[in-house]
Amino acid sequence: MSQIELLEGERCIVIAIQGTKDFQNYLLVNGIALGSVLTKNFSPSFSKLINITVGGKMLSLREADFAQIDIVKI
Amino acid sequence: MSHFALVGKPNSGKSSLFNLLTGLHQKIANYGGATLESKVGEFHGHEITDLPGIKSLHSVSLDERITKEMVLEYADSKSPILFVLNGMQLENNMLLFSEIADLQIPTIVVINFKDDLAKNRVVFERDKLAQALGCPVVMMNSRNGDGLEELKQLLDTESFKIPNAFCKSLYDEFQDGEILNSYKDSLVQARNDGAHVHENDFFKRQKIIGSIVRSIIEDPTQKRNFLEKSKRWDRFFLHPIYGILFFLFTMLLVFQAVFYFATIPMDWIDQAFASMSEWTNINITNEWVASIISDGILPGLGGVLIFVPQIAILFFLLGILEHSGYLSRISFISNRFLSKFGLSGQSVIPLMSSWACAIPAIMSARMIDDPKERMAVIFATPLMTCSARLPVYTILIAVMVPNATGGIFNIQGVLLLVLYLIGVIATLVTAWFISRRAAIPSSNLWSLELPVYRIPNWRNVLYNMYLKTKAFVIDAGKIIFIVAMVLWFLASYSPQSEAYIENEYQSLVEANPDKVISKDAVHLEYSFAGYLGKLIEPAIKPLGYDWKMGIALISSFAAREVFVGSLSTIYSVGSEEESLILTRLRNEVNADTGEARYNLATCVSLLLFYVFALQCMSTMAIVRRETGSWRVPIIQFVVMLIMAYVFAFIGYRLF
Repeated sequence: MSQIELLEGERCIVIAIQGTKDFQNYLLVNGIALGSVLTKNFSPSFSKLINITVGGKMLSLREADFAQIDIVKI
Repeated sequence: MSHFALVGKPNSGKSSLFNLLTGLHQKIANYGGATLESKVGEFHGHEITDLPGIKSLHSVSLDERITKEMVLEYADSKSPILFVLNGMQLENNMLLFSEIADLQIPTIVVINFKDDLAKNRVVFERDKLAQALGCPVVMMNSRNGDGLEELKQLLDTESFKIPNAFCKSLYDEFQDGEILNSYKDSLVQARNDGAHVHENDFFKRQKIIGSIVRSIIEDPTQKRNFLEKSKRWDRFFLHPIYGILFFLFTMLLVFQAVFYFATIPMDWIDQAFASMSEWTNINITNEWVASIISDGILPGLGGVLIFVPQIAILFFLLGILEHSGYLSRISFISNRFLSKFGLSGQSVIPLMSSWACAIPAIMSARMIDDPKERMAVIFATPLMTCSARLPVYTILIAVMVPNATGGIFNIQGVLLLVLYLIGVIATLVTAWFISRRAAIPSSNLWSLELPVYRIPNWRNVLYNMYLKTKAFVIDAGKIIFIVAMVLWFLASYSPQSEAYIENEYQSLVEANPDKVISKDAVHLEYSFAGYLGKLIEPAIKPLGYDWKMGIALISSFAAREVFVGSLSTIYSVGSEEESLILTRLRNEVNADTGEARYNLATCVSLLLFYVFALQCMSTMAIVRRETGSWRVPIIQFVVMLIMAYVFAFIGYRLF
């Protein structure tokens, strides 16, 4: 599922992470791994960024990076 | 003296706690071998180090890797740590704690933001948590000191305990009945192989942490609304129109405030040094001592201290933006724009800091995850208009244009803004070029944590302002003081005899009976500085400069802020009172043309030279330390000197 289909305030679960090992490691350090529950907060069009809540913190990722995270809406 | 470190994730309230414990008994320190900027302070005979925040021992950014090295050193020496957890992000923060617990370092855990926990009705069973972690746990609010007494008692009795291990057993191997601490070995090894976290390790930690948190929090669902207020604010602050307008308005306000509020204290400092110089000349009978104090030491010191109000105000305002949580929003807003120049929102803080001083700005570039972007910021940052350029700009603009208004705008203020904009454009273009050309692999990793909005903790803002301003005064002061002394010597002594100079003076007086010839000016012309200025005159003549300007240029190569002090020495002003320097500069005549020496073309040329030239030895030294060799600062110096020369030449020819 693409993040574009995820609306503000909706929650999802991470089912796979694409990309390089460095990228996967970077997400792990930021608390995003398989099974992590994310909530989409906002993604202003001018910024090309998406802000999510993960582990009680508000984290912004680039839309292109977030597209490498496979998610399922819950 | 025993020592311990404060360790925690970014935004855990570590620095507030450090300020509470140490008060003003703290200083910014660098660790040997790396420019890790940490604060070191004293509490009841213990030395405390506040290490930069770290997300994980597997983090990739440079400052976090250096913090990791420091934590490993603490593990080796079994020195204790005070681990600070953000109570509202307990699970997230405990991940780092679990990694450190596996290093078996004696620890006391501080659960911070007790007030937020109470507000959100999150109730901890603290004793149960202490039992699960295996070390003392203190609940406190580092913003107002609630819980500090209990922590002080634990620190006084040195009640640090080695915590229970989380996943250490996954790594530890036994050989001949002895434990090989291979968890630590794996962390040390991870330095070289990209510091990858093992997913199994991560999941196991999450599982253990999850079970601990569920067992100690009465109702874990309560804290879900904690971020809601910040999200509501973000609807405004990150709005495509209002958000960007607010950002521009904030920047305008910061600059206006820096100039508006600094004027009066700057005038006081200026007058104080002028009075001291006057007092010295009147009351010190020994001419040599009076000269070295009033023409060397006092102008040099005044040249540093006059910037203090502007720098302090800028650091104060940047502190408010940072501690309120808005600075991260600026990074968010500017990310897309900066990406066109090979930068990202992570570069905003170093770039904005460089308006105060390039040195902390270059050091703060360590927080940038991508090495290529970091290099682009380090290389381009010195082109941003730092506070040391301000006096140069101020005096040249004052010589160039009268203090008049054009509509609602002050023309001098508009010109100053134009110079700042040229600095920003030059920085962005240079960063774009470096990010395209530099042969550094890009990690292409980026994320930005948005902390919750808070009313700034004034104690922290003021401490931060005090420490950074103090560091500027001491660092810049040392160089300026030495340069002022050298310049005073070069301008006061001559390879020619006194009789020879007197003879030359008399000849000039006889040859120009209509003119008033200054004896001091003739002395200067035949001084070492005068000869030096004349030596470089052919090279700077195409820019419209004479040998006197050459002396000021040479003297300000170590630190550009020396320029005004040098001019005041060269033109025999003897004080830094602006109107006196101004009058002298305006009255200087070009002997070749008979026109004003500081005409529009020369002033534009000088301003452009100072916009581009890298005249700061401290910046070069910091760049060398941050990049590990002299190659980058030397290239930087040469490139910026060429840019300065070319633009100054064009400016002189056009006007």
